[in-house]
Amino acid sequence: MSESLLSVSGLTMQFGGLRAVDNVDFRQETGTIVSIIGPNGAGKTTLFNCISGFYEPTEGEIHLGERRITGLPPNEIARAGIARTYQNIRLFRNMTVLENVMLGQERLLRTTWLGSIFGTRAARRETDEVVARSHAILTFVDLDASADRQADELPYGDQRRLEIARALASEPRLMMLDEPTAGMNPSETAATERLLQRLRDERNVSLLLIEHDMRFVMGISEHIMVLNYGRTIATGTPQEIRANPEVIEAYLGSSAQD
Amino acid sequence: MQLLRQRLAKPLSQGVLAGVLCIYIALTGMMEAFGEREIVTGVLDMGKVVLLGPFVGLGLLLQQRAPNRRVGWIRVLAACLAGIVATGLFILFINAISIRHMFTHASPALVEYMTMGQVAPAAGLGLFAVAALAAGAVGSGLALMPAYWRNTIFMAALLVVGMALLSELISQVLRQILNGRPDRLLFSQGALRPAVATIAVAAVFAWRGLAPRIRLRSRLPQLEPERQRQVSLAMRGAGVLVLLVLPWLVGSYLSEVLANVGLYLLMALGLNIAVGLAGLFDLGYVTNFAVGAYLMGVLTNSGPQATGEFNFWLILPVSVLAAMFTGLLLALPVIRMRGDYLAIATMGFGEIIRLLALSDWLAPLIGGSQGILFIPKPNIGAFTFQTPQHLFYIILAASLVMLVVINRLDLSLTGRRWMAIRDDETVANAIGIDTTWIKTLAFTLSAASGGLAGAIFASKLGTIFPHSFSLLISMNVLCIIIVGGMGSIRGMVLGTLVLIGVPELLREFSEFRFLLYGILLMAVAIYRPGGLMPARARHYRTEPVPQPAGGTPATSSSAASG
Repeated sequence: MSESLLSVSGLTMQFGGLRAVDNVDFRQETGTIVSIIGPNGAGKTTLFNCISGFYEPTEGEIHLGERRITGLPPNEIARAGIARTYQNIRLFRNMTVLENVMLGQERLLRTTWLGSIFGTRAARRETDEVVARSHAILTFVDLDASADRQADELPYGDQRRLEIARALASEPRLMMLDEPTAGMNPSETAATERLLQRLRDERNVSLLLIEHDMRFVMGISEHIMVLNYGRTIATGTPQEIRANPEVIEAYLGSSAQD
Repeated sequence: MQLLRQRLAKPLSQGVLAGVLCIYIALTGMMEAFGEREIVTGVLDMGKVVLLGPFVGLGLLLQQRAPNRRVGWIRVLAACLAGIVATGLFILFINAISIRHMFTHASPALVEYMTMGQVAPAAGLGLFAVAALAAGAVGSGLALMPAYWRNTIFMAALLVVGMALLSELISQVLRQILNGRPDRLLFSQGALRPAVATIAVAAVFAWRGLAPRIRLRSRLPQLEPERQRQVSLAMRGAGVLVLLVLPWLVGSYLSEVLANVGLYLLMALGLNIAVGLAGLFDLGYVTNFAVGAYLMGVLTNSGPQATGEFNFWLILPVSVLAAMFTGLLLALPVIRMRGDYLAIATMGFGEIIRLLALSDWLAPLIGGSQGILFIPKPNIGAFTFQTPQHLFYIILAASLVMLVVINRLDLSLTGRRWMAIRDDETVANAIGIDTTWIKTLAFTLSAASGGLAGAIFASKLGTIFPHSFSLLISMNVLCIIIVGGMGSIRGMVLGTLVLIGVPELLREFSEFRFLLYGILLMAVAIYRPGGLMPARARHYRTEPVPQPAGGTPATSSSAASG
């Protein structure tokens, strides 16, 4: 285990008679973009939910760096440095855009309820810092003009970007994105691709993606893992995956030869 | 003919509905009770308002929805006739056959009232029909005029009705300020004098007629931030000053009402943390109120349950801490429940507390059904807070302190965490919030204010009995939050005034208090789901953070609130 950021070994998630994730192993290096692909119901989101602590895996181990995070509650895992987005956007809808990003910084905060009640200098200063950082992050994703709007008033594409901004706000070591381009048109998808590359290059965030858009996946990923029926059927670089007959058979079909 | 029937089916059924509404109001006894409350001497009373109100509503709604005037008038006429027939048949029915053994209010007096005081039913019915048709015409007329003038008429009506209903309060204040009986100029037997009502209406029309030309627009937004802060500070100071002299202006009875409003405000502010901010539906809020009250009662009373006879000021913080501790304890088993389950479980706690207070088991300590007697009033040295006016100041101080605390929490990072849990608990957990702890914190802090209210309540009343701590208190507080506006501090103040203060002023209404609560809750749910004063988005000032070396302490977190 040299420089791995995330290592998953022998991970299994059993729901009654269904093995949603079956003995999955993989490893992600710091500073890389890795994608998980596979048909619907292949266990991709279940794998995400295991890593982010929503499910406690039936078997297997998950490490972030040297730290074992298997079975920790979601808030501990977030504090360890993993942030995520959701397949169906889940913002704090009744709060403003700015507040969403402020909340994203939870892992960095020290203000306690006593500080809040007594309005201590430390608590006030921290609120100011959080607000300032939030504006910086919103500027980074080009949403600062909407800072005071309510989150659910934003157009769809902006809501996706706000979810990324909220995840970025925690200064995570690893960001997991569940279908970041779902429902986007080609130009929005291209903008998302640029944003994710900037996240990695300018903010040093490693990215783990679930994605269906093959052009997007092949363009952005350094490494791809293919899941089917909960099992890893292939791993490798985009070129290797594109050439893998088993993958073509299971998932890509003829479109991969384009 | 077929066509006509199709076209008029809807207005006719709506007319019948209006008639049924009239009958319902009559049978609950509301109409007669309201009939005793005159608004303009010899001209109008509240009963006539509820008798003819449905017809005005018919005229307004049907005319507004009609494709053109002619169709509108026909529909209104049809609907009013249907309503008159329905109500008229009802009047004839209860005049001929007594149903008083079932509906005690269906009396000859009611018939007389509904037939405008005529002894001969036929003449009376005719009079009623004319009045109802006139009411429908007025409603239609309102629908046809420009919105600006329609609103002006509504304002004038609201002013006249409001002045009449609050006549006692206005008289009281006038008598305190001026010598003699200045109120006699305005009112006779609690109702507005016709001349005064005319002047009031004329004044509203004059103001609305001139307002567009005078342009009384607020200049506040144009001022510099520094001046703005000064102005708002001055306004707040003036507000506190008014509150300080208020008990002496309104007298003993209304001070008592204000004190009750204050106690409910304390509870609403507290429960608002759990319900409004953190989204935790707590139906057992009375628990905290009871804990505060009983602790104050047990530890300060000099009656049969005397234990220590400590001082009020010593026990006040102890009561708050005890309520917080109970809140913490009760949070532990229910913290993993969501939504409805949480509501039911907390409701159970509220009942448990009441039964414990009533039980023989704890009777030696807290008096059981005999309650606790001889709880002393608060005092400072030789001065005792004896009258409602004195006690008002203690409650005012407690409310102001809680307002400041809750306002801070509302804007703080802790407040953000609560709201995140309210919006999406799973995601809140996944961004690093320890949801279990933050929810427990919401229950604990929300309990504090209830304990404070309970402790003051016990000392104010001097005696406490288990039946004072019923489920109804939890429900009242929850109603305040829903009507006022969840998560909105200004909404809590308004909600408490509307739901607790106003019914106390209108004693004729008190019998129908819960009927009116129900109507108000439904109206709010349909027309203003966010409450009367919905929570506004919290905005944080957007200038960059001053450098720590710059020396100016950062204050941007104290920006505008909702």
